[in-house]
Amino acid sequence: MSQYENGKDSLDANVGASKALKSLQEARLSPSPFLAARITAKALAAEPKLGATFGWRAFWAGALASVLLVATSFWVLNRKSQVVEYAVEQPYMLKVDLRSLDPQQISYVVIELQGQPIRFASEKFSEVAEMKSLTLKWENLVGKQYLPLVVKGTSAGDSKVVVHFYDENSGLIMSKDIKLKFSSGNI
Amino acid sequence: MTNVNWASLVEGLKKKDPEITRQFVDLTHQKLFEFCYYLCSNRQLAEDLCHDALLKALAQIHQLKEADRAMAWLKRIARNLLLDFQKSAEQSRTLVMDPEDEKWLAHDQKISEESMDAVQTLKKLDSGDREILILIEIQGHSYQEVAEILDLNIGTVKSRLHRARAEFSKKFIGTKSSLRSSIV
Repeated sequence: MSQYENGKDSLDANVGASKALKSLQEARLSPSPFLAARITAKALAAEPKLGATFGWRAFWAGALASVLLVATSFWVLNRKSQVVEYAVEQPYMLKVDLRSLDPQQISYVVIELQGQPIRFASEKFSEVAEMKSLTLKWENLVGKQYLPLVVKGTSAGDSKVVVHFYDENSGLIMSKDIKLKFSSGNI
Repeated sequence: MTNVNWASLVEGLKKKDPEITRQFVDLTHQKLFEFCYYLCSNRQLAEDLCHDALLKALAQIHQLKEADRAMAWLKRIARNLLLDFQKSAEQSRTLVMDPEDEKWLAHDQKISEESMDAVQTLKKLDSGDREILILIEIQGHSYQEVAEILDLNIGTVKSRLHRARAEFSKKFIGTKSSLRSSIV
């Protein structure tokens, strides 16, 4: 084979390779038809609802203000399966201990109120009383030792406050909870 | 994707607008999936990477400096996720195409024989050559965008592209002949 023919073969091979590679520009690979819906649903589920309504700092300030006006009781939320008894219609501050958590891991926190007789309490943001859960961005808690929550029992009964800590991919890192018993009589 | 108003989309994402989030995912996920698939040659892994990269990007949208570069930014996130995945000891492996994926490419995605040869050749390249060809030759990114995605300077992108093209041509001939002989 002459040098010319060798060169021509090599050129043809290059052209063929280049053409094959370019053919992938037209090849449209489609993922599962559910992938987009899955991503969207997860992204929207992870949206911090509180941040969209009002700022965490404002909520915290409001929560503290409401606490200053009334008698308060503090409970550090770091033990499980302990029932604490409280009077109805009295705001109480619960403090979630954040010291043992790795701040690098956490992206957001979801606070859930379980059981009928319990509500969030804030004088400034009365609408929180209608919410059964709040989502807070972790960036607003950086440097804090405790996350304070103000809750109120509306009638006698058992309730539970559960705090979930999530990473940026909505993976659950850990949960803390406290059981509350609200009573109408004197505590 | 040329007529997309990225600035307004990104602005909507920053405001956590659900409709804009939906639009953004619809608009970007297919190209991102394709990029991930060509990178890792595994359909399931590509879907996972695409899923995780988009969620990460949406959570960190405030870090996106230039809205027009959203697609390049997404690919950079996906590539970094793949590198993290491959770094973990259990997952370091060579790229092996699942036979089911091959059927999926040929039948469901209706890839031509020529394109299939190109996919098989891409798998034989080292990851640096592969990613540069995917970004420039298949997905049409500029040198500047590729430099940002791969964290390289433009000069390096150009020289790597030159080398990657040569490697691809060399391996493409081998791929074609081995495929033909396996058919015979």
